[in-house]
Amino acid sequence: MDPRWIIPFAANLLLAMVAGEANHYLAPYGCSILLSGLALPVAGLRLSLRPGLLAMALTGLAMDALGPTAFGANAVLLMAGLLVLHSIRHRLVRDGATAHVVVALLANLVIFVTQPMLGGGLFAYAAPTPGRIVMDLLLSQIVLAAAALWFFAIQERALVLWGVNLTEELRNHR
Amino acid sequence: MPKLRFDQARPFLLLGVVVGAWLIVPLVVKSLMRASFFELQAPMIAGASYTRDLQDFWSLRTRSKVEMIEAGRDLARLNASYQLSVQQLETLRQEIRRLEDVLRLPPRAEFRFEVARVARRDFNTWWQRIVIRKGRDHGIPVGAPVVFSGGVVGRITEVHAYTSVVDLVSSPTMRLSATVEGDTRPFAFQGGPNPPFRSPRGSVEFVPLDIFANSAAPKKLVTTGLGGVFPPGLTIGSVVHLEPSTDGLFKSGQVFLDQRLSALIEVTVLVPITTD
Repeated sequence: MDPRWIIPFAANLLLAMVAGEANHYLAPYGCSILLSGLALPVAGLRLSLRPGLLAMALTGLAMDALGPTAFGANAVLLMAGLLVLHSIRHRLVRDGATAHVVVALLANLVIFVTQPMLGGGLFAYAAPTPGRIVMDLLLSQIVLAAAALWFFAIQERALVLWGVNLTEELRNHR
Repeated sequence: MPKLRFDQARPFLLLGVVVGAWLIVPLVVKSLMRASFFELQAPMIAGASYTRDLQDFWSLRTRSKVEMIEAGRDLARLNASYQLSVQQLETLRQEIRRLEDVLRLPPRAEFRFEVARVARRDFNTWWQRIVIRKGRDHGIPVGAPVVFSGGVVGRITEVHAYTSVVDLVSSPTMRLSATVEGDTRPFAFQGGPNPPFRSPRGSVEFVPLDIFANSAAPKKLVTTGLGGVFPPGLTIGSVVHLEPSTDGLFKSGQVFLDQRLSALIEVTVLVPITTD
């Protein structure tokens, strides 16, 4: 059992549960948060390609199973995001916190705006009010920025405890 | 001329191959995988819901006996009035059956009431759904209507072993046939858009021109029973604004839904009773 995909996948499931509970309590106030962008940075910047792709595929399928989006759509989106990260990561400071947080914020923005396009025609129905889109996006990015370092630290600590050499992973490309 | 390097494009080509292969995977395999991934996360959803119930129980334990006695007394009065209403409804039901026999009308749809706790609310920017703690094990079918004391909640869209997903009436993906109370002419209701920090909303289209409503004199919106999903006469919301549509043939407007939709704790699924 390769911990390099199990730990990111398990961490993303935990993230989905925490975000789901937060949205349960935010529902009476008419707002919600989306934190899916947090799934990408550790897998994209610290791990080699294959375990990262597997972790993103499983995370995306888990996201699709809970929502009305087409099954596999978020998986393809996350895998594509991971491949983009892998192709540009030699230009980034891969073990720096700033790069991780910026990548997470950008990835979250892309995932947020593409959700209705993944839903098999969700956008064909009544579009949400601009105020709702701005409020949810702003709230999501603020919560993401606040929780990012904690979430990345959990994953990296778990990987190190399970015997993964993160320095060796940085040198590997596959 | 230097050779073109394709090694950086190889992973993207591989992703393209994976996507192509995924598109030709049979639907039954995708459905099975979707159900599996949902059931993988269902224990966490249900567990969090049970934890909330436990938290509520222990917070109620801190209340004084006098508070509990007063609450019990108020509930007893409410129960007494409901029991009277139930007796009246039973009389009306028998009268309807007698008239159906006399006039040889087809019988009305009968339902079994399945009460379920709400495990999770998913009210994001693009859709509004809830997960309830009853599923296939309790005989819940896909497409069953869901109601609460304030009227329509939504419709069951997915059924799993011990959980089900309900598409809410305030979701932009929900469309119903509706009419104004006291009228029989149907028109279209659609959920959303829902602004932040406001009660849930909906909109109506193809409303006849002789129907008027505004915030000072709203009209109650109810189900028509067309389509055979929702029984007729269930409350959807209040039409608070109507204006002529661009073509001038009908009106369209805004509907305010019950505020309690955003904070539901318990709902009732109407399971159709099929007579074989």
